[in-house]
Amino acid sequence: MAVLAYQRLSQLVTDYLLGASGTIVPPSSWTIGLSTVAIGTQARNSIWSATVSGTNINEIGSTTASGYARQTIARTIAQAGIDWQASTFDNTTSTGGQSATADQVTFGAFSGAPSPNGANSWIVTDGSTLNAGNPYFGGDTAATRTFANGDTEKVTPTLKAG
Amino acid sequence: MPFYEIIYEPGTKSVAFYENDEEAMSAINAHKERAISGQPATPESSPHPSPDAPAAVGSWAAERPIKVFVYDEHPASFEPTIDTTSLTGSPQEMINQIREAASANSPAPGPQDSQYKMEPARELQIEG
Repeated sequence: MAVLAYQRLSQLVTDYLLGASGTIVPPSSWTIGLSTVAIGTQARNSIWSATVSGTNINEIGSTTASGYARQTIARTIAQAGIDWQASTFDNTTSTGGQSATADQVTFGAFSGAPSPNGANSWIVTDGSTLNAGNPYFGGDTAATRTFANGDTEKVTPTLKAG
Repeated sequence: MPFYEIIYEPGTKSVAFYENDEEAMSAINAHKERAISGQPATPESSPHPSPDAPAAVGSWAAERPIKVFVYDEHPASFEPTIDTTSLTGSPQEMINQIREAASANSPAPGPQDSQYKMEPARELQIEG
């Protein structure tokens, strides 16, 4: 599966964790959105944008929501709500690292076809305004998902920091 | 700008944006009918454009909606007022208290409770 850690996630490590930056700070809660753009055509410095060109990330439902909205993941570990499960460690030198998987999030129910429709990736981001905020990391969906009345989508994001 | 937090019978929760209650009920009732008749809620899936996409395509059952809370804005946009004079302990403990207070998410919601700190404007009644 194609996955991508965007520039902002790297900046959180270098500027916030190492340097205690007061401007590059993590959000109070994470949000997660769905994009029409597959990870393979994105870049580390991709941005959310309604303008579909280059490496921009376009969010589904940004013209007509039809039930779409970003979901939230709390910045806590193994609490009662939707947050992150206890992380695990893979000691393999070349491919290992610490992994964190969130609780499964549910989108919808959709009331019809959102515009744009057809999710090809999920992105962990911040803020609730569509096509805005900082992308942190994302991955391809298992298939192109085309939504209709009564559908839901379920995503379980994982980050492996190597 | 109405956002609807939907709580499903198993404790699953989601936030959805609908133009009005009629659109919300159309989606919720369509999903509920699938749950009652045991149909999946999986959207239409077609081959992913990336050859690296996962091979396994998931499917899941529809779940019966039991509660719907209506908000005037996305409940994740909640910005609390923090009384810094109430902070206690070491500087790191104070940072943790601020971080917890700043979160839009409720710290320990029950399975059928809202997952947000923001107070909903109202609750939408689900028929049947």
